[in-house]
Amino acid sequence: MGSQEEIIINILSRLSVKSLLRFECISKSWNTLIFEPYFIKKHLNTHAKNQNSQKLLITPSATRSKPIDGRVYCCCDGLFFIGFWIYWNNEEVEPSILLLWNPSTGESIILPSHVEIPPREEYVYGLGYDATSDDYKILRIDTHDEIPDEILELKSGSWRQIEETSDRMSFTKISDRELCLAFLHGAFHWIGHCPRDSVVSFNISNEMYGEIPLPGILSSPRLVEVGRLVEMGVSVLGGELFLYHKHENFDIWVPKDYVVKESWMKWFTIPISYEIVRDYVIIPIYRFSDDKVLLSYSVGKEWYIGHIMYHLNQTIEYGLFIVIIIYMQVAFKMVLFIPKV
Amino acid sequence: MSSSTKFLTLKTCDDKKFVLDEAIAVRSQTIKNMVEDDCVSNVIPLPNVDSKTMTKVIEYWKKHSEEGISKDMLMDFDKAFVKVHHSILHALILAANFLNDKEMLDMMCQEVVDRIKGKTPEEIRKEFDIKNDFTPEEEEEIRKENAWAFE
Repeated sequence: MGSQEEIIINILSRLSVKSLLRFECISKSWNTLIFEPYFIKKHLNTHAKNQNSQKLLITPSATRSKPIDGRVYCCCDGLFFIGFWIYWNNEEVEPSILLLWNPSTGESIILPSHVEIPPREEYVYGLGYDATSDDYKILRIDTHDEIPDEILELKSGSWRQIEETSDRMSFTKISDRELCLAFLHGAFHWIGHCPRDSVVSFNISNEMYGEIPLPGILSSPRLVEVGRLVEMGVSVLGGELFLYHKHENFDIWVPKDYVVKESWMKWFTIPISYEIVRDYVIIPIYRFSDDKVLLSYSVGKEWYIGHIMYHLNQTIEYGLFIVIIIYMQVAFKMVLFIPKV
Repeated sequence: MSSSTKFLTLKTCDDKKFVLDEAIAVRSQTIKNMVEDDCVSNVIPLPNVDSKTMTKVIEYWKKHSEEGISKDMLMDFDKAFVKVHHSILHALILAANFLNDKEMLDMMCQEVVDRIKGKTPEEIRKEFDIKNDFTPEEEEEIRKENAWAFE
């Protein structure tokens, strides 16, 4: 690679997606460069750490079949993992179509459908990037723990069952609102309970399961009560793993050191005196740099999910925040709400 | 090696010589490697850098090596330093790249980014002297795909 080209790459990799796409028509060589995998990776690395950089832009797009419902499971490096329901069938809990969508370029890939989905099966998915094999991978876990975990490597394009090993820990269904598996340090994380309650991890490079013990106070028996969904889960906020748990109050814990895997520290508590804690299922979804946390809340099985901003000084803001909602009617639209100042 | 100040002589492509404290000159990874590999005899030739550009580079190196200079002062210096004509900026980037001074190169590249990010493709072609090798139809097609980027 010539030094001139290296410099051009250095400069272009600092541009926002919007500027880049505008410059795509400058010349053939710029056009080629912008879609070079090497360049895409460099651009991603340049912007990954910058919370304020523009990661998402919106284009309405028509789909061939009219989906009647849809759900964004998760995002990774600006890729959206989305499920669509085409036919209305109460038996089918799982979406008819799974796809990866890059809103910045408007491209999408329809993922292979499952081998055979027994009706009423319900999965939780996770999307992550494996630096070892330079591939994006999707893991799905059967919430009823009847089917082995399965993984889809984008390059291979097919689902494969993970070998059952003794260290496999079953998945506890935490809540209906848990949309995806937390991904951090090359591994997915969720709450499992076999033989004891803990945070289960699954490394997508070597496909090994691991375990992070819960904070002492939570690991005592009877956390998982029979017939009752325990409102506990893990989220990745600002590059750190957080554990949330609602018993009476709503507590969020953070490990003092991810590698040491022992010490948890209570980050904050929202007391039960708040209506939001009393009446709703809460999931933390985003941490802002100024110590505000975006929480999503919902009641039971209703589709409606609200969002609030919680300041660590114990005040709550209601309003429109950075929330991605999918509407399924004629075509689908992505709507981005910017926080109101 | 002696602990007293050592000087290096740098020679630019237009045959001008610069004598510089080694401790300052090794901000350039290229020069540092040469010094460490002991391939420095008398004069270090810099075939890709002219004297006008080298003067600016040395001004930057000296300021960034000053003892006790505050971060704010450096920031003000950097801000003023990059306010140069496009052609000088271009020459400085090539020099920083050849000399392998990552800090300087990053700062200059960021300045280019700030200058071009709001511009139209036509303005960019002019600025970088790029020939548009798309047919009008091809260009129109690409623009249509990325319509929102032009809003």
